[in-house]
Amino acid sequence: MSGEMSFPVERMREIAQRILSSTDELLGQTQNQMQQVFDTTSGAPSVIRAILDEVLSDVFRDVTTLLEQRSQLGQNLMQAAEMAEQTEQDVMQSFEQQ
Amino acid sequence: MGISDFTAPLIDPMQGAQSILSDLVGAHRNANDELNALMSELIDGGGVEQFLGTAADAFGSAINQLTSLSEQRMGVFDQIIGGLGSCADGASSAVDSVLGAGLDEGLLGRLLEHFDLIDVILNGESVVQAAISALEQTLMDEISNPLALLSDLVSAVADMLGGLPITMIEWASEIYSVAQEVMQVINMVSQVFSMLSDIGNPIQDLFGALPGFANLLPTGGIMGVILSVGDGAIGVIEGAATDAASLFGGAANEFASVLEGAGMGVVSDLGSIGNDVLSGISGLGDALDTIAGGVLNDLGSNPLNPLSAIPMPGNLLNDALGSIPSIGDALGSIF
Repeated sequence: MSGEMSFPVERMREIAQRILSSTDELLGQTQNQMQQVFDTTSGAPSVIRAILDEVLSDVFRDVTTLLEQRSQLGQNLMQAAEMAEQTEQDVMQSFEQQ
Repeated sequence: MGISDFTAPLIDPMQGAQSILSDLVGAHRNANDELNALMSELIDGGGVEQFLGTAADAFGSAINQLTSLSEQRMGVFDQIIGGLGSCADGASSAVDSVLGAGLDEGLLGRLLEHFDLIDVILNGESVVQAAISALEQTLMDEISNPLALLSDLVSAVADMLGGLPITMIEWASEIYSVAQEVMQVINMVSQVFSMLSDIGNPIQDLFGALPGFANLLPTGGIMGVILSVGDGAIGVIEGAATDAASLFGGAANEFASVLEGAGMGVVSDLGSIGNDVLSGISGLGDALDTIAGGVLNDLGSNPLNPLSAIPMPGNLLNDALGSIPSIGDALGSIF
C-alpha cells in the first residue's frame, strides 16, 4: 500500500453528522410524500390505482433502500473517523510505552 | 353525471400524484447535490485538511454510486410524472372541448353513465368506435319508428283533420330536434372517447414494459366493454324513446284540444282544402323518410363524421315545409 493518507477526523465527524441528519429528514419527508401519493391515487379507478400503486411501490422501495444506504454511508464515515482517531491514539500510545 | 364528473376519477388523482412526485423528485435531487457538495468539501478539504487515501477514494466512489442510482430512480419518476401530466392534460382538453360545445347536459350525462372510462382507456378507440356506430344505427332506427307512427296517425285521422297539420309539422320538427341533439352528444362523446383512448396509450407505454403490468389488465376486457356499451346503447335509446313518447303524448293532447276547439263543423267544411292538407302531409312524410335515409347512408359511410357533415333535418325540414305552402293558405282560409 502506498500513497498519501489523511484523516481530518473532526471534519469527517461533522460531515457524517450532516449526512445522517439530512438523510433522516429526507427519509421522513419521502415516507410522508409516499403516503400522500397513495392517498391521492386511492381515489382513482381500481385498474389505474393498481397500476400506479405497483409502479410507485417499486420505485419507492428502491428510493427507500437508497436512503438507508445513504444513512449507512454516513455511519461508516463516522465510524471511519473514530477508527482513524483510535488508530492515531494506539500508535501514539505504542510509542509512549517504549 | 357531467363530463367533468366522468373524468374526475382519472384526472384528479393523476394531477395530485404528479404534483407530490414533482416535489419529491426536487427534494431528492437537492439532497444528491448536497451529498456531492459534502463529499467535495471533505475530500478537497476546503484548503485546510484533505481526506486522502484509499478510504477517501472508497468514500467518494460510494457517494458517486449512491447519487447515480438515486438519479436513475428520479428518471423513472420523471417518466411517471410526464405520463401522468400527459394523461391529465389530454383528458382536461377533452373535457374543455365538450364543455365548450354547449351540449345538453342531461343527454350527455345519460350517455356517459353507460360508459366505463377505464375500459375505454385500456381497450382503445376501435371498441369505442364500434360501440358509437352501433349507437348511431340504433338511434336512427328509433327515429324511423316515430315516422312510421306519424304516418299511421295521419292515416287514422285523415278525414277529420282541422288544425292538426300544423301540430304534426311542429311535432315532427321536435322529434328531429331531439334526434339532432342526441346525435350531437353521440358525436361529441365519440370524440371524447377517442381522445381518452389516445391518452390511454401513454399509460400503457409507460407501464407496459414493467413486470406485472400485463397481469393487471382485465382479461376479456374487450367483451366487457362491448357488453357495457351495449347496455349503454339500450339506455340511450330508452331515453330517446322516453323523449319521443313525451312528445307524442304532448301532441296527442294538442290534437284533442284542436279537435275540441275546431268542432266537427270545421271538419265538414274541409272539402278540397282537406285534400290539399292531406297532400301536404303526405309530402312531408316522404321528405322525412328521405331525410332519415340520407342520414343513415351518411352515417354508414363514415360513422364518426362531425355533425356538420351530416345533412341534419333542420334545413331539410324547412325545405320540406317550403314545398307545401298550401297548408298555411288552406288553414288561413279555414279560420
